[in-house]
Amino acid sequence: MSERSELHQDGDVPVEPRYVGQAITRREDPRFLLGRARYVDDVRTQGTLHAAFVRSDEAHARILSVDTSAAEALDGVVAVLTGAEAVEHWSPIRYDSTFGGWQGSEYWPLAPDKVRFVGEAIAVVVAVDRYVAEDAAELIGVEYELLPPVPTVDAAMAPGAPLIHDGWDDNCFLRRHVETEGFEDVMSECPQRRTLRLEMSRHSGMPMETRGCLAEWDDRNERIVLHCSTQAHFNLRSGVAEVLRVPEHEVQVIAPDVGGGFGIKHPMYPEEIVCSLLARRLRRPVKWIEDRREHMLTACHSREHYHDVEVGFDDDGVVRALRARIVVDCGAYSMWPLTASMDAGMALGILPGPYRIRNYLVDALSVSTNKCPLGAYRGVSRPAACFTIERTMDAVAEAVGIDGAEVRRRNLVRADEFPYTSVTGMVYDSGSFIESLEKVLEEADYAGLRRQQEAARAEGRYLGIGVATYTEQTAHTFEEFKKRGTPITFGFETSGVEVDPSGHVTVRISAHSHGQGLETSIAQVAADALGVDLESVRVRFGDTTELPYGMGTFASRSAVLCGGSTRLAADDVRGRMERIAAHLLEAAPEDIIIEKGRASVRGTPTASVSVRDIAHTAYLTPQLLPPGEEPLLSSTRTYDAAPGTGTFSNAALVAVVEVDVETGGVEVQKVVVVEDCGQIINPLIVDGQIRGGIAQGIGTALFEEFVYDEIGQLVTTTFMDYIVPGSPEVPDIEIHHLVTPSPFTILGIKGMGEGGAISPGALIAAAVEDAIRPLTPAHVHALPIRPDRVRAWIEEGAPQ
Amino acid sequence: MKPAAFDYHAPTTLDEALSLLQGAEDADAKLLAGGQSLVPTMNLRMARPAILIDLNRVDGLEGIRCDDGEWRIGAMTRHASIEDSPELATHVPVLPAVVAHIGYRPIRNRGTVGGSLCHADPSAEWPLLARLLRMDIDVTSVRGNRTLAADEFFEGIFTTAIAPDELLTAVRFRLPTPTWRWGFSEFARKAGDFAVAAAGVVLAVDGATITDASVVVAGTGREPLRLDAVEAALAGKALEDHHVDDAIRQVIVETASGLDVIADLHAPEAYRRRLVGVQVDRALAQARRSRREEQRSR
Amino acid sequence: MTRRTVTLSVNGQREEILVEPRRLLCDALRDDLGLTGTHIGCEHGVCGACTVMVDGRAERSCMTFAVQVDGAEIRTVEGLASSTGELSTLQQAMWDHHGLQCGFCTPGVLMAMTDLLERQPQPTRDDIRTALAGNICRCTGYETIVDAVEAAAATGPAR
Repeated sequence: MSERSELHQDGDVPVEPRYVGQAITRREDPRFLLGRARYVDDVRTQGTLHAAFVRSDEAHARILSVDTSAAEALDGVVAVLTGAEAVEHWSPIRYDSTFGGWQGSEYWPLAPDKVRFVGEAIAVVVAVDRYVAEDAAELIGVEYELLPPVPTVDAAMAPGAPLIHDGWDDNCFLRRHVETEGFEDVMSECPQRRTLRLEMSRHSGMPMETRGCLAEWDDRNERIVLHCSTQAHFNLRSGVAEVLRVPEHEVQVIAPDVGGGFGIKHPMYPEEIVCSLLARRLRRPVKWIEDRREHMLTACHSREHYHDVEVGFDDDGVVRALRARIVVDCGAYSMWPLTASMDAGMALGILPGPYRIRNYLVDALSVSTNKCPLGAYRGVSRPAACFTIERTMDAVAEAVGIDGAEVRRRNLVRADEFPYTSVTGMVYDSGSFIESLEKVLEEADYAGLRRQQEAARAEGRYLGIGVATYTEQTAHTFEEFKKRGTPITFGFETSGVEVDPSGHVTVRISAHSHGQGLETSIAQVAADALGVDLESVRVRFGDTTELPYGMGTFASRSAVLCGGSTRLAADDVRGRMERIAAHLLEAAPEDIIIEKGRASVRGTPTASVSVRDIAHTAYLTPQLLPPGEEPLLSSTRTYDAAPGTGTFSNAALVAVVEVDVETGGVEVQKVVVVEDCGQIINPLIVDGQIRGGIAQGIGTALFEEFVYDEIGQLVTTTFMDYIVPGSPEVPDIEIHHLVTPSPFTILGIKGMGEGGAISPGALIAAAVEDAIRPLTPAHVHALPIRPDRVRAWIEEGAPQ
Repeated sequence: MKPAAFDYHAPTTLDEALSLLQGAEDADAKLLAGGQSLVPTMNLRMARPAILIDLNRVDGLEGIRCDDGEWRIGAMTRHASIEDSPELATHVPVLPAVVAHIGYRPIRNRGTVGGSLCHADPSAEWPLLARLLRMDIDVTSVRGNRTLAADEFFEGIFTTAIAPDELLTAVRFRLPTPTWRWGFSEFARKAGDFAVAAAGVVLAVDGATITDASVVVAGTGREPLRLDAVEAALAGKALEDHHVDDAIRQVIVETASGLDVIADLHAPEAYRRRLVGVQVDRALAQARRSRREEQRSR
Repeated sequence: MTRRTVTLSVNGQREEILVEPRRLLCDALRDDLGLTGTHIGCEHGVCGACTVMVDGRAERSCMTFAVQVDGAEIRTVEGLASSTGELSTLQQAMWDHHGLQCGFCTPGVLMAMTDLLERQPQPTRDDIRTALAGNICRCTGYETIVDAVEAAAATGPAR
């Protein structure tokens, strides 16, 4: 028995892991390093026309007229299309939650009569190049009838507020209420209570590659071929077909190399529908590459949450009851395929976090405003929920006079309580909540840090220490999405494993890698499962013609679900190879071992055949197959990680910041994280995800916000205004791992891709508050922590 | 974001550039120096010159020299040349030290002294430096040459006294005598970003006494401001006399709180005023500690 | 709009293109020369994805017009590996240290860091961080890129 654990589930044949768990450098890297990757703008085809969109510069208005005559006359312009003209060619994007009381929006690919956010597309120009297309777009005159803008949730929910969507009763997509029995009694009996208001700003993933698509009409196959920088190519195919009202087999979607997604490229957007329609009508390829300004205006924003919380606790700091009002600013439209209810609903479910809170009452509102639609960004509402519950825990600690680490110890779900069903019905399958906390305090030398802090204060420097913990639901499928009320329950992923006649392996997966390294990690799983060399495995994804269906990459699910489906399909193929080998070697299938590309008889290593020989037999000399065995070495399987409630990763973090109390500037000096994501396929990739997530989290904590003015104009439209952390802003991050496998998933893998981004807001807020505590009793309950806010908190505390 | 169309000229002599400039319709022609400020605005279609006159092939506009105590820096001298110059590092270390704050190296490889001065961004380092070292700014046109003092050159946000047919050719300055000290402090939201507030201090020192002070701030939202009151408070004071610290600090605080500033995304008004004062304080502290011979550390 | 002929050397190869004056260098490289390794991330000079070398200096190709580089020598990411496909020291180090994830910022990072190592063969970790400030990466958190540059500096001169 090797010293690495056997990876198997009950009933499976144990497989010695040669690759899973190893820090293997990524197979896909050469093309990216050589400049040979193919992102959508690198996909070139003859005769391509280029699109530029005319976008609303009003937040809320009726469109009275659109004058395209000057644009159409410009040399190099091939076509111009307005929303009014296109109305009969498509349906609006309409995507409704299954919850009662839901009010749905209609999002036309080009607005025919009303615009509801600045940047909404009204018309499109198609020309010989983007320069000319922009020249023409400028010549299009739009006449508006201004309507009163509704730029905030307060404005949207005020009595008598202007209605953003026709036929609605008010501006609320959805209200939800959940309450445990006897809540009010429990809350009123709590020895102590505190109320808090937490706010997280509107910000977003900001991938380095903006959105884009190239739509072509394929004459031979009579279908639209849509190359698109997307995370969910199958769902996109379904959506485009539905909106264009064509059979789905008349649409093919290809996601090429994608330069970052973070959830922003999960939704279906109007532009890809417009380009698809134009390509079909013009019978010419139509390409649209989003520029950064468009991206800031129109690619989904995220995370704009307002939480009002009341926490009831006893004198030992044990939380007994939690009341919350969660309000999310969802912007103008409900996006496909998650709906506008996603953020508020998820926050409702995960707000109690990794803590043992049994009495819970929550109202969650998804509100529409005249702003860019909201989508899911890495963690979705978990960063806001984590911010709230962690700051709440710190408030409890302060109230009873104990340390932040101690209050967590007293409230975290304990090892012997797993699987733990939370008060909202989430099943925390396994975890190391307290163990990871203890370990991070030890690794960070928490006591030593406190001494350093004291020494620094004596020198007039303000260091602060923050602690945070979280649990991350990952790889959740049908059970969870049913509860969330999404019309599509993202119930499975799919893998096709095929050994070809040359004995080489192709794995096709329904997820898509836009940085996660799936070409390597999935190959590791497949190579181990089949007993072949890693070099003989190639992983493919992104083309909807290669597999029947899948959901794509989001919600930290690909490693678990595609890892699982790959394992299942590989097991099928391995089984057939064993039977064929057994037949060729005149042995019993259960005595066949396949490793390093050869099948041999256990105990008789000289009796062997190569995987290539087996494949040759299967495809090219099938007369040699065992009776009844079919002549293909291929299997396509799905996996849903039953029971579908997901598998929960967890982490605990310590951060040290230094606050310049004169300028309000915050420097993150140190971050230590203990992460538990079960069985790790590739530690390099996992650690990379953690570092990248934390870097984005630093952006959430200190820098990033979309700012709208009082008439709904977006003020932050360039990187001068929207600040993204650079290398000097992100410290080296110390990472440690615990391994608590999932009892539910194949190989015990848990997802973790979003995790790094979840806690930095809470973590850094706690650290900043700790740093300035000698100067002020102020609490850090709003993000981002801008320097002027820090100064304001300090001034609050100054003697009058 | 693609720029609107324009006619392009790449003169190779100054005379050619000047006559192109004069011949063009005033508002429609722009000089292209480094392009690091102009081209982004053109890509955004916020600037749409009909004519672009590229100065990058004009001979004789670049260079750093010192003749008889007068330093002269040509307008097309790249920020990177300033940053890398051994002469400046030795004799005028404030320049390479401050210029290193301008964006990132690729920006500094193309951005120029003249371009930065004429663009007159309220947060930019070069307008501050020009006032700080009391530079003379040479401009020329087909009508002849003239020199403007830095104190008269900047008129407001993105506005200078340069005429539409004029081209900035060089800046000249002398260092304070007999010795001098400098300090600079800048606060930006993140490394390489535009300054929210910045302050430069140059002290002319004779023995242990400050004979003259130059105190200039940037980032108020307007042109770089000379803080006369702070300068007056410093003149004649002993360099090392800590008794005057509180008095000086008081003048700084009062001056800062009276500044006319513009609020923006990164700083509301009151915060910005106070921040300017903090930068002055820090720049002054650095100036008092530094020595003219101090090597720029890299 | 009168097009102009621009003659330039790109990765050691002489090229001639016909472009409008307003055509950005990044678009000329990508569309007129088919060198799609240089990426466009913002078109206002902040993100660094478009960084190339012009006459030996790192520059933003989104802020330079193609007509301006007539007669210049350009190096792009496609020119970093040897003619036989051997990765440069820095490229190999980026691979070894997991210095890329989605890869979109990577060409710009490679060019900026190649430029750094050519000017400063032994940078400190802080020097690297400061130089890297001009490239935005949303995936890696930068640390592994810094590790890679440090390793490449230790290995020997960048190609």
